[in-house]
Amino acid sequence: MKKSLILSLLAVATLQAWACGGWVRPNYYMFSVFNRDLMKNPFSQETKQYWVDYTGGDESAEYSCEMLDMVKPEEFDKSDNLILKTARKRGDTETLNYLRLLVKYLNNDGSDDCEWNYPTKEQLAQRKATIQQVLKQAQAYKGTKYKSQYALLVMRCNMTAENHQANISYWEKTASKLKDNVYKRWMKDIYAGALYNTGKKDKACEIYAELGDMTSIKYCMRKKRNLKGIKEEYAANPNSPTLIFLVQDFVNNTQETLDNGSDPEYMRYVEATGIYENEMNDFIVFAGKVLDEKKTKSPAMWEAARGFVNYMAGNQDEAIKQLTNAQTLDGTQRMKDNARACLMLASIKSAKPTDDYFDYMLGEYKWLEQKAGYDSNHVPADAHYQDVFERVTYDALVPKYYQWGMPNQATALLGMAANNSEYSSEYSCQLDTLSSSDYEGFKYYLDNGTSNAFERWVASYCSIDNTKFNDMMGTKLVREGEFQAAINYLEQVPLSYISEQGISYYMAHKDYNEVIWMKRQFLSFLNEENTPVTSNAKLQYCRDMVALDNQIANSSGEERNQLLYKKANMLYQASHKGDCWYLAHYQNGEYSEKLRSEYDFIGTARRLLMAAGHDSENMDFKQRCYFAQTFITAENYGYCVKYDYDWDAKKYTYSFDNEKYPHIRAMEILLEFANTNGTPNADYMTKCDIIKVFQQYNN
Amino acid sequence: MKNLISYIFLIATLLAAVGCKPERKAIDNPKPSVYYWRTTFSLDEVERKFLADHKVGKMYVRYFDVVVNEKGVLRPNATITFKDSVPAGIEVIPTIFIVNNCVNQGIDTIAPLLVDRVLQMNETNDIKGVQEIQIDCDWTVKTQDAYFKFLEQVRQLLAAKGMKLSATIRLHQLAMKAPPVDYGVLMMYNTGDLKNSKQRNPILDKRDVEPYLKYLAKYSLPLCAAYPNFGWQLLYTGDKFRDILYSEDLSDTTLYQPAGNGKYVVISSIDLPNYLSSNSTYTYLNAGDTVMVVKPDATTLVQVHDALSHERPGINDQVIIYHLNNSSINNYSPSDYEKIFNP
Repeated sequence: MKKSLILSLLAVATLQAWACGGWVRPNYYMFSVFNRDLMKNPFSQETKQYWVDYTGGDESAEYSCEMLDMVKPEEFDKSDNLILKTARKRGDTETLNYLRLLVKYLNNDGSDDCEWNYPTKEQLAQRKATIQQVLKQAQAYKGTKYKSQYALLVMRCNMTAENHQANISYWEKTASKLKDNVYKRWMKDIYAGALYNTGKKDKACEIYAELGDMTSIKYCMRKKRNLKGIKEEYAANPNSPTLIFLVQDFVNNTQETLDNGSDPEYMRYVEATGIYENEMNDFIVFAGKVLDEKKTKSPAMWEAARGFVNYMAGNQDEAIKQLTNAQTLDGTQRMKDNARACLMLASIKSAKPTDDYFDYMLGEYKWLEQKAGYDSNHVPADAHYQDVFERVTYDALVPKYYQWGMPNQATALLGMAANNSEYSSEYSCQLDTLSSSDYEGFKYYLDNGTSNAFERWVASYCSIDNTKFNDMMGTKLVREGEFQAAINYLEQVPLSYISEQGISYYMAHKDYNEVIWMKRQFLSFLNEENTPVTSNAKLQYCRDMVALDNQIANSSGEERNQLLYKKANMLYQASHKGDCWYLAHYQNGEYSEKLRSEYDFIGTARRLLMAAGHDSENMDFKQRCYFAQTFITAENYGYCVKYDYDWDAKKYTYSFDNEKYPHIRAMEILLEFANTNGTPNADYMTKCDIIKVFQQYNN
Repeated sequence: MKNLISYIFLIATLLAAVGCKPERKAIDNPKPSVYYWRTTFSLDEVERKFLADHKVGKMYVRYFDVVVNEKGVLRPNATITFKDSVPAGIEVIPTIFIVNNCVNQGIDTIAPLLVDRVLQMNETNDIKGVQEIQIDCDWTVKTQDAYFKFLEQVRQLLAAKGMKLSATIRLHQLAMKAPPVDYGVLMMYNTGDLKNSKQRNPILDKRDVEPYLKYLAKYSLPLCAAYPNFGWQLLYTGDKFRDILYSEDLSDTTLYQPAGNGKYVVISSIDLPNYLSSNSTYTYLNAGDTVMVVKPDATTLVQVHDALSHERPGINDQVIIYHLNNSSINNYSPSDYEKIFNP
């Protein structure tokens, strides 16, 4: 089951909208002995194919078939639905008559619980009458070409009218004697529904299983989705088709419980039942019993099931042995493939980084690729094997590489899994967090450092072009405070490249020379869109920083203090708290923190302000330095007033939070200075409500 | 700077709270009310008696949800079926739950569809005298603009028919801009985190309410409040939360041993229907597991109710109970209900 990516989204800007560090991987199910596509309508594809063939192989007829319910009966003769147009063009009256009746049914089958047009009373009455008309007309069909389709229409009308007994009779006396085709299977499915609704639930489930209608089986088996249910079904029939669903469901629920058992709302959302340790152990024992009894025709499924449950229970040796053995036992090819995929995942847990193991992995990854059947857009024909690929890669092999001390290999694997995507992937986030030297090392690894066939195969999916490399190296060096070194890389980055990045919106609108504690530059990330830039602000920032450092080195007195103040602001602006965070980061958000290997922009800014204020004899300037420090401490240590609610007195109580001491102290220093030597009525002081309240409270 | 702004807002609020008495801001035409949150409208005798005993004048009835379907299209879902009539004298307020992920999927296009559907449902099902629609949505900063625009459209459409629009307000939304509706219903339930329910009551806990009381006085919309009467039975294995049980009879001493403070120890293993799954699957209770009964106790309910009245006089002029259900009604005594319906 897919679990949506849950990210810290609040006020997250760019890296094309996703924040790094909050990835929650979908917990794709590993165990798959029937294709999940069977959970869709098992008859729709074949019925659509009839119309594709009818229109001369036009694939869009599939869509036209789906859209037949949108055709209004009164517009039938003018409709531009491909199927109707084709029949009209051919003058195919028999087909048109059938379609006219089908459209009439589809417009009145009551499936508008999910439609915006809610029926009137008259429409409801009219519908009932129309369904009866369609029923009579369908029953009256005497031809042969659409005999099955008309018979299906009869049963659909009875189903809509909730006349289940009529459907049971019709199936037994008429429909069951028609020729075998998709319509007959569909009718049998409706018959099973009628049995279910008249209390013959076991018989209904058996038919659903025979037809491969896994959605209906899931509904029928909803009270047996546990080991007790599996045992009952097995006792009744060791080869009951329902067991394929129940066993797969059990193993998947075990995986779901391990992954998300602590999240009951999510468990409910995916309709999973919790499977815990005692049931896992009981299942392992029961599967062994099934295999010993040799009554099952699918030992490959049972062996793989107990092998994978053993893996999840931490019984690694048994898991490997059983998953290997399952591939040699009787069962469908999918059951054997399932065992192979599960073994691939299980093997990683006890693997050693040997050439033999990497050769095995290369073979298995290529097999997965082949089973997935990717098209030219990298869309898999069978999504299950893509899911296996992701689970094996993200949840097992990448962490294993880190455990083995092979970070470049792990990063490359992320790159392969993301299809080298630069945006919104774990790969792009991983690249973003590397230090400049690690990033340079990774580039070298991709170009020259792979040491076996598997690594070379993985690396072939990843590439870092020179522009991207220069931009990222330059940015990382800014982040590390290496402004001179960054210039060399940033000079080689074309403006067109930056203009295509998410940060261009912020770069185009925010100026790092604006003094942040005097004026904020707010921009809503909701309006974020790539914006052409006329200069690379990162490059200019580095040049300004280098020049500023030279000026500071050659200055003294008040001039030097002013320059330190300027530098403090520029440093703060580039921090994750600054308005111009884009200078050193690719993304930022409410909960962003200082990155690993990031220069201490904020601490340094504060120290520069302390030095500038301390040395200055300009009272106005000194006060601005103190004011800036209250801003920085509040932003980085939190505000110093805390509040609680007194439920008896029904009022808030206030107190100083001593843990926020830096802010208290900065505020005290500012106010003491302003009231003795400074200008307490300075514009920026009187506009600040925090100062007002602090003064009031402190008094 | 967001912190700075919050701080300024806090301080301004504090000053207001200290310096002046909050203004009385009630909704128009208040009446004791209930939510009806099931997919089939059908009342049993217990529920009818409750409505009569407490002179309930309004029912906020969930008509349908709005969801994004597989094709990415906004559609109604889980439409209510009326199998019973609404007792005479009770006004119905059709209530629509909009799943938040719909909001940025072109929700502005469905305003007329939604209004027309609700009106047609009234007509088809003989629901008379509807004067208002309510929208329920857990909107966020990211969906606020689109959601508010949608509400404005709905409000205009309703105003043209002489009808009003209300919206639910979750506690955390008090700190956000108020939606463009005629009034809001402050939801005083589901205030906590289910997974941490051993420490706090996830349905209603004073500690979860506390941080938001400061926003009440200045909140610009007229407000009324909705309080919970439902309870949960939470199953734990050790400290690990596992499941919610559905109305299990914990007084059966062959299965459960009372351990005080709403805690029961399972003394004999049993399989029970699984409330978390819509497919009636089973939950295995093993000997040694514990079941915690959580429901907001009447004392907490009254305390929170009174604190709300103090912070914002008038907010409890209309109280809505969430929700009308035979199995929940007895979680409070009739006099407890009266304390909040008619204090």
